[in-house]
Amino acid sequence: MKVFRKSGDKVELLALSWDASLRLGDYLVAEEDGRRILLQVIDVEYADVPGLMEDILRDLSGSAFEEVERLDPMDVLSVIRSIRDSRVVVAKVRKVNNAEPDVLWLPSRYTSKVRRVEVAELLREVVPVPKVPVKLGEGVVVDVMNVEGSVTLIVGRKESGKSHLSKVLASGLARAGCNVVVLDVNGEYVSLGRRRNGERSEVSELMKVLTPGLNYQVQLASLSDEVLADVMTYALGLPQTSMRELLKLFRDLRRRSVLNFANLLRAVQSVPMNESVREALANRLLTLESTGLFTDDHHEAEGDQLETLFPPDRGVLVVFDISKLSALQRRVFVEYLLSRLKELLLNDEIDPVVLFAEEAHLYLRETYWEDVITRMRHIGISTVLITNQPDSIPALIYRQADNVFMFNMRNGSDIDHLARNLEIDTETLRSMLPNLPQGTVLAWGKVVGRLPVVFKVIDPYLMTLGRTRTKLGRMVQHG
Amino acid sequence: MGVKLADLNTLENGWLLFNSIAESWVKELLRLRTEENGGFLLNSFANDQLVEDDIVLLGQVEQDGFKELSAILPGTKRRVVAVDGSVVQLGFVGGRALLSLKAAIVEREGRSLRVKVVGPLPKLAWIDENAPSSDTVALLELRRFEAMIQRLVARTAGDALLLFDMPLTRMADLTISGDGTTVVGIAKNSVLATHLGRSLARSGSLALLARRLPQDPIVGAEISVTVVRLAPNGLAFRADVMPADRWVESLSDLAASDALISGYPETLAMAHAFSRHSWIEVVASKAVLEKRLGLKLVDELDVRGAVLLPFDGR
Repeated sequence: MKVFRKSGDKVELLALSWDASLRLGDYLVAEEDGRRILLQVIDVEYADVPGLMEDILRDLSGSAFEEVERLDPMDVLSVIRSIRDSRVVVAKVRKVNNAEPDVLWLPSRYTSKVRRVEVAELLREVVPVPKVPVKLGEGVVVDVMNVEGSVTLIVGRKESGKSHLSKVLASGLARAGCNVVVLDVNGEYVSLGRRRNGERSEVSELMKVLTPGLNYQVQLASLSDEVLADVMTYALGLPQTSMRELLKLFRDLRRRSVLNFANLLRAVQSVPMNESVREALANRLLTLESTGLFTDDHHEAEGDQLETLFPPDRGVLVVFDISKLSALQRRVFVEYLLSRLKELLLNDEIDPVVLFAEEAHLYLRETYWEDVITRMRHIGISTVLITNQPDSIPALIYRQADNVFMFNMRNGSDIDHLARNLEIDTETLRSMLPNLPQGTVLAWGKVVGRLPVVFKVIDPYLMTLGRTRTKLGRMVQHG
Repeated sequence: MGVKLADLNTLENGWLLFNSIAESWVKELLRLRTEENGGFLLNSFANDQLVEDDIVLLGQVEQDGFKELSAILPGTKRRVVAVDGSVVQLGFVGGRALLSLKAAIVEREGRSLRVKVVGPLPKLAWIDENAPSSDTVALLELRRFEAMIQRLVARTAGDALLLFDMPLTRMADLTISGDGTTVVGIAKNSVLATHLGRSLARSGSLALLARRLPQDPIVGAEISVTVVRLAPNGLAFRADVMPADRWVESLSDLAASDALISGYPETLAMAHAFSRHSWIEVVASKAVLEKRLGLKLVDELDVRGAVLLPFDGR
């Protein structure tokens, strides 16, 4: 391969057909006298060879012949074939002399050497040796210290491999010692404790699967004023004036150790207050009770000690299976969980957590997004957001994102949305994202030295339940 | 028990011989990698006789008129075999021009078409001190190469019409098999056709201009030099025919056996197309010589270009 020409940050290289085993996203380095330019392949085109049309026409006319024989003692034909099919490899400049691409130096077209750089070699150069390594792909070992304390996004269309990566990442973080919380909206993380062959996986000892309302209920009396206020305000839309009234009653009953739904509702009905406030409070309390997530009975309540789920001496993978909850139940539970986690973290009762939230726009309030980048990570909640609708995540999140993992995406407006908000150019994304095979990801951010890197995510052989469920599929499987 | 000699009158043996000749050209090239070569100042006998020959004939015809005129007759469908070649100068090695030679043999029999492509073959040109340019040297090498292929095909053609892209009078010698082979040499850019074609009827017709002997009168047989319009309203060409006495039948057979493009035989046009060096073949040949044989090629210095470009409009 030889450097052919450069325009802006785009470099074209001429390659013969035997060089064409390149893949989108592969890295090349053009070196000369100790200086080097790092290039990433974004496209491959046919070279515009002089006289090509004449050559092809002649070849085409040969198909009318019964027999075409060649006497070619020098075997020039093999070279001819290669030149005919020569390619122009289109690449983007990613680094020059290990500096940024604005350095004015170009390698010689004739004397520079172009070679492929494997991802592992690239990462060794651009990322410090991982302190807490987790293997994500072949030759791709990332430092998960760059995930904890960060905002990470995983985007891609349906069945492109997002959940697979998030499971690898969640398992890796837990094994490395992190507190991982998964909001499992599709019930697909619940089996991570098992391998596909039925054996226990490496995270089985670290894993706890909880189903809110079923094996995870919270005693009403255990709620703090702040958590109650968050749930009532953000999940159930209680106005501030009504909230003040409720808190007065809530504190009074708790002080007298008689706090339960019945007494709280009785107090709302009996204490003098504005009738519209009374009605608002009564409706919200009945709704809260009907979710089944909160209970009066101390003995019935299970898992209310959220802090006990996160031991300080080892990692943990807590999966909240919210797949069977109604939209309202999800909103209420997630609001409770986030509020309670914040409370525990502010009081230093638990270590920081990494929260995995799939299709978060379905159950998270809008103001949460700002919290993610302003308060949450400083408090100790790192977020990994997973979605197949990239435009459901606000632009401010993208701009502040530390790591982005992009899977196959074909929708042009989705790709443009990413390009507008990330530090990767539109051309690269438009070229790569629609062509990524299933399970192959374009990663960018702190974990990969802020270079776009393409790799196939490893198969940890964990049992996954993320596939689309169909009746026909079940019938075929059972013969 | 006597030594069994290879019969060169079979096509397979003929190509085997040709292969070994081509290999000897490569070996000569390889020697250049190690030896310090002086100049090879040989081979100045063959000049381009075409225009001179045409003008002499034209004078004769204008003075005496056509020797004979005929219409194209209903001919017999025969196998047509066309041969053409091309040459490209690849560069210089050890002070000598390095050429690439290529030829194509296209055979048409009814609706069946077969093609054999020979080359590209690298060959060092002899240096001709009297040649005005290396282009002339290249043309001389091309004629030798074409003649070699033509002889090989002619010896083994059988009952076929052989089409060559040159006047037969220019060939040093040509031996054809005795089983009905006819050779027609067609010259596209002949002065004769330009001047005398107008005298031919617009319908298919032909005119005998002269009987000539080839350059080597001992080996070669007599040739009819004609001007012919094979297709009605088609272009006129100079066509040399051998055997000389069968010129009307041979050209009539040609009109019956081959498709005609503006009066030009399609089989010969195809041989021309397949024998041309494409840009890719030139590049590939250079690559093979440099990478596989380790030769260093130097392009001919373009003094005019070096001095005057980019302002020289030519």
